[in-house]
Amino acid sequence: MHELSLVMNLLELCEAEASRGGFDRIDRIVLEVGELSGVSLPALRFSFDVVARGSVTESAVLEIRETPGTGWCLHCEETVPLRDPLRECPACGSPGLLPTGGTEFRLCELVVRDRRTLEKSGKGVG
Amino acid sequence: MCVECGCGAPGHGVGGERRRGNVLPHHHQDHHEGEGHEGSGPGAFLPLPEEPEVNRTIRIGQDILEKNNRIARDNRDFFREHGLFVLNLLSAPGSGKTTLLERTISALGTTCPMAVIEGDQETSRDADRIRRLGVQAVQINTGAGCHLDAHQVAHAAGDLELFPGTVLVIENIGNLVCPALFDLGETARVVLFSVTEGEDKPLKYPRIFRGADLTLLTKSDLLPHLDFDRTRAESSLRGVNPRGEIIALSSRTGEGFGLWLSWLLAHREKAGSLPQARA
Repeated sequence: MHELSLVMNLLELCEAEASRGGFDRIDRIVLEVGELSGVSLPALRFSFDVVARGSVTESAVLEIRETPGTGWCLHCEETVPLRDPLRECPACGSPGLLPTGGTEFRLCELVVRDRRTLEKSGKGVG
Repeated sequence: MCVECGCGAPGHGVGGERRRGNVLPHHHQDHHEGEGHEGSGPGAFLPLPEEPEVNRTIRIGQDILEKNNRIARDNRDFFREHGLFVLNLLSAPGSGKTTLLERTISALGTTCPMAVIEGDQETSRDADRIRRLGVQAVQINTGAGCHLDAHQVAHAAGDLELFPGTVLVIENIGNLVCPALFDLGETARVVLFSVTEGEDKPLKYPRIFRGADLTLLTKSDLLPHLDFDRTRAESSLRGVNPRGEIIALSSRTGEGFGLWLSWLLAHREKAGSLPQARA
């Protein structure tokens, strides 16, 4: 259940951004989660629902962009699609590909709501 | 060594107080009062808002584990600068991590100074076992936590007296899933896989085995009593980690221990952690 720790880290990032940007509400959180990142999406959403309460993220929608996995085949010496770290190379069938893409777990953007009046006063914060 | 993690106030999100400071209602009240607002008695709540709410998008592009990774990088720098060889020891519960450490400490004796950070959900039993051998140990209890993170390790390392050339072993929480994701700043990762666990363990938990610099096949003295197929186990491992090394050993009989100790001392030397100034 490391997703809970991941969501706590995400929340810290959001709070820091809220402080820096002077907004008090996040409507949408856009994450990039790679196919080979080892993050379970159902567990991530579950943890988010628990942790987001009572915070700047309370009413935020979690938008998850999944990125495809890729691996380096030592035999073909090229990058091939890799859905699962255990799959063999789709071209030559050799095992043990080295994951090269789809391992990311990243906060891409926040859609936030603030008021025009706050935009000015918020600039000096952080 | 924990320089900038803000651990003086753990869990206090930087935006917290400002967010709860009722900034918006105050702001509006001032605004409307100045205009002689109609229709609301003294102290009544004013309808929100005439100021339009504005949505905007902030691009961030930050790795969510960045905080852990940053502290792990600091740890790694600290360990390197202080001439320490640091192992992150990982396995399922009961694969023999603490027993391996006990035997290793006894075998190395005074030839190689050691220190241990023990991670468990509860109790200081493992740290007590290590201290009984005259080696410094710090226990981290994670409570509900399922893994150690770099921040905890930074603090634990700060509680130890560490000298150049010391092998610092971080015994992670017994768990084959979560600890794989958290870099602690270690020099090398060692994963234990006991022969009672089934040959396909690496296929079921590929992530942790893929990151191993060395996999120890432990409890090898039990092999005559089991149907465990060592060749199949090693090919499962190779499937997920073609480059890592494998050593079979028994902490009970000492079989294979020579190879493990040689690996440890060779890598300690390679990491440049031997004391520099020797007469």
